[in-house]
Amino acid sequence: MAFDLKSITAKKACSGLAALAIILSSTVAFAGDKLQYFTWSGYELPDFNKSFLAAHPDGVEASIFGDDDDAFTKVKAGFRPDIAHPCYDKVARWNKEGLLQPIDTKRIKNWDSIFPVFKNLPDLQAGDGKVWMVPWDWGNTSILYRTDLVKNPEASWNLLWDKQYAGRMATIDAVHDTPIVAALLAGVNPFDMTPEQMDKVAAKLREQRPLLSNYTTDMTSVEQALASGQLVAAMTWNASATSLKKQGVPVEFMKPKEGMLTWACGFVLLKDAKNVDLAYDFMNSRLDADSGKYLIESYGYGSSLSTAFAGVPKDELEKLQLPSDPEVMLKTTIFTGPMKQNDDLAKMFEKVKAGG
Amino acid sequence: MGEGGRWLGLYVIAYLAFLYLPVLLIPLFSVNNSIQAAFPLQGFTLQWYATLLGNSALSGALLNSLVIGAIAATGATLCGITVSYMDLYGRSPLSATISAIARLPILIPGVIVGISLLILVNLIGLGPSRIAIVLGHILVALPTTVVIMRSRFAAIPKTIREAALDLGASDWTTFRRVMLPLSLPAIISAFMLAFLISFDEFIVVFFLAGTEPTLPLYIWSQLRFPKSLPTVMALGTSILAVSFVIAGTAELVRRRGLGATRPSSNPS
Amino acid sequence: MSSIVAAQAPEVRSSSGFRIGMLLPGALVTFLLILFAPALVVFLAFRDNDGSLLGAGFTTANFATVVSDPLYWTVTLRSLVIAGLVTLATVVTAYPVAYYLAFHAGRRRGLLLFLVTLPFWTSYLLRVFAWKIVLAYNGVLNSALIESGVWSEPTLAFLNTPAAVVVTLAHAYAPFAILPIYVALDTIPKSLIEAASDLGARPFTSFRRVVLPNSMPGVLAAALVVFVPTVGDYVTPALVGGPASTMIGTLIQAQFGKANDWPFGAALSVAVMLVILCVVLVARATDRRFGSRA
Repeated sequence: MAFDLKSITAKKACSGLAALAIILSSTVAFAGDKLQYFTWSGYELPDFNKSFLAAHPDGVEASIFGDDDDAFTKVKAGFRPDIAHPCYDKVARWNKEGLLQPIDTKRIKNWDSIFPVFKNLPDLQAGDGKVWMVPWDWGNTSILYRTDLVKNPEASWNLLWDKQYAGRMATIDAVHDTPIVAALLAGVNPFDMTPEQMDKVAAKLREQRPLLSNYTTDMTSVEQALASGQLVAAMTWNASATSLKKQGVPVEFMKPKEGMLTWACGFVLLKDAKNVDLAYDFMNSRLDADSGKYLIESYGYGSSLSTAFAGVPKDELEKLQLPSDPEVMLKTTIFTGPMKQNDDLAKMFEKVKAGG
Repeated sequence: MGEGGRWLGLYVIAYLAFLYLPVLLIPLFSVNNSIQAAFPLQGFTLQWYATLLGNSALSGALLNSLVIGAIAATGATLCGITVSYMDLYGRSPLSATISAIARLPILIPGVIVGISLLILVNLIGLGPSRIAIVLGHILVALPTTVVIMRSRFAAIPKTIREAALDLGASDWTTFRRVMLPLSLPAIISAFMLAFLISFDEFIVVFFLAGTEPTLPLYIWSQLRFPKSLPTVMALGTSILAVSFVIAGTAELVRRRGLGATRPSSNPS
Repeated sequence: MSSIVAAQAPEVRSSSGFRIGMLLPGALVTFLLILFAPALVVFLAFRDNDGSLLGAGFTTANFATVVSDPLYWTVTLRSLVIAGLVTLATVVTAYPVAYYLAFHAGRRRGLLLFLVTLPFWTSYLLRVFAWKIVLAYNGVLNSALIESGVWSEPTLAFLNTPAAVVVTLAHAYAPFAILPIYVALDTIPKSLIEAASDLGARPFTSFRRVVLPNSMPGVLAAALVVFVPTVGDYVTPALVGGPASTMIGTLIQAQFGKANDWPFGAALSVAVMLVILCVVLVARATDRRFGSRA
């Protein structure tokens, strides 16, 4: 028994535990002073809010969600960020659960530069000069395909149902993407449908399942698989098209005759937000024209600010297939609005994915 | 027998190759000068390791994992010590029951551990948070610490404890000044392994994480982000290296502990 | 100080204080986390989903759906088959290694045991991810096969298949299987094997009649330790599985995520636990059969 018997007295163990507890609580307190931002992967980049970080160094802590349905469940399950970044179609749903507080547009300094088409979205209005969401980004969902491996396809979403490319296609694992397209092809209104119509959509989705390599929101894999030729076509967002074109991969972002999907997302302030002032600073920083310009140029997504577009050269916008006025875009595309049967569609989609 | 042994030896080598080769690809691609993880290799670089430094989201996740791992491992080890000690010496149905239940989480898939704790932390108003993760990891690590501590206590000759009690030491003194020091290597080993379990755990954390991601969650989120793939490899390599060192140390400590008491632990 | 007080206090009192202090942490953790939390899942499984935390009103509709919808049978069966294959693969490949460790390793035993268990302590996420690199279209396996002239075009057949899930899981859980089998083999008295060969049994006969039956408890323990976590896995199917390998864990996770129907997810979890319970009971019955022989 050569051990030092006193080396692990209860007292020492307790003091060790206490030290750990202090470390833990101090990091908790530290985190409390930071803005808690809950967002899509890739949207936490510091370049989007430079002026905020200049004023509050290290002032934001980002948590990432896979898609905004996951985010909704997590927030409902007691997760409490200050500010979150869902898309427009989910705002009414978040609001119905009483998760949000109105945002005062008077405190948003560039509010007037936001395109009216976004400012006037019905589900945003909280009355009295207040809104439920401050629009920040918008973009398209379409088919990104390899021009060398898919020769002159018909411009239609039907490509993702084409049997000759079985096993070499992927689609986005989110209710507001793949099921909407299936509804369009089935001739059903994606945003409000009867149970019989939903069966039609389910049938369309079932038809597609055996042809797919994967349902995913993991754009890493999709982009890599498109680059390697494992996939010949996949449903993606603009950013994947921009990224692969920059890498020199021969791809094209399709303009389907049924219409691309257009979505708009933005910032919501959560009801129990602890750092409301920081949240306003953050939103204002994100609504700097520079921030919007960075969003356009690096990801190929649209900014909600007309002033951001003014800073990007015309030919660059053309390359990105991005008109400087979203209203032009919206004339030819399907805007992703609130889906009345979101939960039922989500359950149905989960079942179809599992093979039912 | 010798011939068979040789073939078996070759098989074991092949098996070890199968075990290690896929894992070793991660360090290989972490120094490969390309965003794609594919052959042929594109030349040596350390740039991905350079991007690890000065990444505040990453260091935040690392700190989180360290703190959570340390607290969860402390809790799990404490429970492992008391549960197995009482199981062996408490001589009551309650302590035996507790010990049996404590080893039960082996039979619960991670996804169910995750959701049941998610419901629990919401019910008590905690919500997804660091404390929730700590609770989850104590649960996941508990069977390991109980098994390690139980086998260690069982290996200490009964006579030692009885002698201490006969000499007038109270239960508490016997536990604290005789049994604990004798099992110190096992305690350290249990703590380190519980720490590793927490540090690498993903399935339960996925449900319980709040605003502060742990390292595996950070990796998961970065996997969605094409440009950071090589950085994830560099991070993965660092984690593998640290895990190897901790697991190796835990094993050495445990074995030294066995060696130190082996001469005296000769059961009659 | 406290120890002096304790020593002078009446034996019974100090002992009961000690008992309570020693039982408390374990009791708290086991009863709150291991019994109460899963009990909540069972409770929730009988509730109606109204969007609130614990649902509203009692119902058996969740279980009715689980039982009546063939999808859940299919997915459960698929999970059982995948987990069963993984278990079979890990146990069969691990057995010779455990055998070598127990009977042939000699001085190298300590080192080998360490090497075999080391990967167990590395990140499971990273191990799964490594397989993604191996099996990818332009990955290690494809490029190696092209390099060696087996075929000229990379194949899609590796990634996003149930086979990929089986291989990845078998690799991730391999170390789990070796230890229990090794412990069982190691405790077989050498004299028993010697007696068999003295009585004229050929090596294979003595293996089949003596070693194998005596190691069955270890084999069953190994099988359980591999089977349980794999049957509920959702990460591996998501990373390397593709649509054809959705497992029951994926469905449970989806109910607590996107689909937002916690009571139904709870009902699925209860169903999985019942299936695992059946498997455990079968394993125990088998164990007892072999146990009587040993």
